[in-house]
Amino acid sequence: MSKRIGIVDYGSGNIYSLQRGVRAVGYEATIITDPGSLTEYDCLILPGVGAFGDAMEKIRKRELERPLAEYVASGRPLLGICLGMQLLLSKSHELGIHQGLGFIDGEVREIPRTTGVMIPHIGWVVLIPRSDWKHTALENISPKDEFYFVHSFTCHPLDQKAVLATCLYGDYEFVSVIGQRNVFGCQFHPEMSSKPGLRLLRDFMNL
Amino acid sequence: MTQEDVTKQSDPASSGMSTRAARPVRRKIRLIGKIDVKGTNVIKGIHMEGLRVVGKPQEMCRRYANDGIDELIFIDLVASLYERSYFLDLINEVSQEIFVPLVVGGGVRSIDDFRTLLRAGADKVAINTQAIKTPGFLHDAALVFGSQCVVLSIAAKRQRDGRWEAWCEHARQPTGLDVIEWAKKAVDLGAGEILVTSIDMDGIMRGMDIELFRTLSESVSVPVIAASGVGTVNHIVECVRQTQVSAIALGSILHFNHETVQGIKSGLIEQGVGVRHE
Repeated sequence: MSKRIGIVDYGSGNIYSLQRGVRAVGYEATIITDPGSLTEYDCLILPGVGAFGDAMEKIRKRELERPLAEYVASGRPLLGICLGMQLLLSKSHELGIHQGLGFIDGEVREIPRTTGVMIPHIGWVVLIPRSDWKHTALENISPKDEFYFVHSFTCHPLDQKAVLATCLYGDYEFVSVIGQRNVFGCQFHPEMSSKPGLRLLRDFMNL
Repeated sequence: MTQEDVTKQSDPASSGMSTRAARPVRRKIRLIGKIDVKGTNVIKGIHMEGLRVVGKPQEMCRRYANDGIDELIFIDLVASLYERSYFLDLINEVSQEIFVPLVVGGGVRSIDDFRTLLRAGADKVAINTQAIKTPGFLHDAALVFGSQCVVLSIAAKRQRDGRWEAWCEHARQPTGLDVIEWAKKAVDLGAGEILVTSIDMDGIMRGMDIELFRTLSESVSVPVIAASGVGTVNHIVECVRQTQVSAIALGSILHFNHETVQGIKSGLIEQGVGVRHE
């Protein structure tokens, strides 16, 4: 039986490109709105754009928080993308302080506003490896591969071992990929990052 | 310019680089293919008028994507109910096979229109006329879809007094709005990116409105996509060096095969402008 892939839809942003990206690498992803069905999946993707507090509120309102925690406790893989990655951490400083899902200890903070730096940061960037990529979704990513980012905030995990990759925006180095046990997050959008992005999606679903 | 040369000489990082052109540009520039669609065809005009058919959108965007384009913009120039379905089919088709950001616009009047385009496969939506009519639309859209999804599109026309006026309805209608002031307000309302076409430079491939893009990119904190006027690699280099724009939109230069995306990227790298390598 083929893997059951789910995209968690909590009403925050565009999930359709992601669904097409998953399809392009040979899988079919179901868009999940029913919290009760989360545990039926082998592999979950948590997308998200917009504001952190608003997204958490929607997740709670749809009663997805506990099922997500139960899913993670079961050891199956979860990938957070963009805001979805940030939601994996304990808290964010975006428009006040908000509690996140807390699967990985750490905080989300704004990119420092220095001269000549445009916010949001939009653009294609290479990944700087910060730990061993073997047996992760980054296994087939080369240091030359570029990924498409659009964000104003970045993740600051407490445990440096959770940092798989960082990136540079001007002189500012930020965490771009995190991973701890079965929980992963990438700040960029693999579904908009051409071939390297699709390769990462494929390898994540093959994990 | 003289002052900049002096600064350059005193900068140890640039010692040994004798020409201005060799000085690298630190930021990486996105190259975006801009495809204006009417019915089932790609069309292109001059000063946004006298539109003529230049090809099929599917074929053109495939060519640009295979050649390493960083992003694509599709604008529906008709946006009539009848022809809208072709356009949505097009976006749907393209989004199944091209995985770079797709900006889609033309005739976006409501949150429902916005959602329909995202469902069809758009990653960001460009709004022009409706944002001018009801600026609160930008705010509403940003609230629902996030600022990164909301691209304000402005058609700018140079005035006698040196300023620029925003035109809407596909550059047929003057609005009295000052482009710079409008852009600033739109960013406050929630626009996450600004696409500016220059009506004066559109379609003639004789260079970009540098002053417009410099003033604008220094006035707003969000990324600016500069469009209109690119006929050579040097036009891009000039704009990138003299302004803070984040991306350059390409129309005629690609549509009429004057250059390929690959060729433009190689030319830019030679001149020290960073771009994405595929």
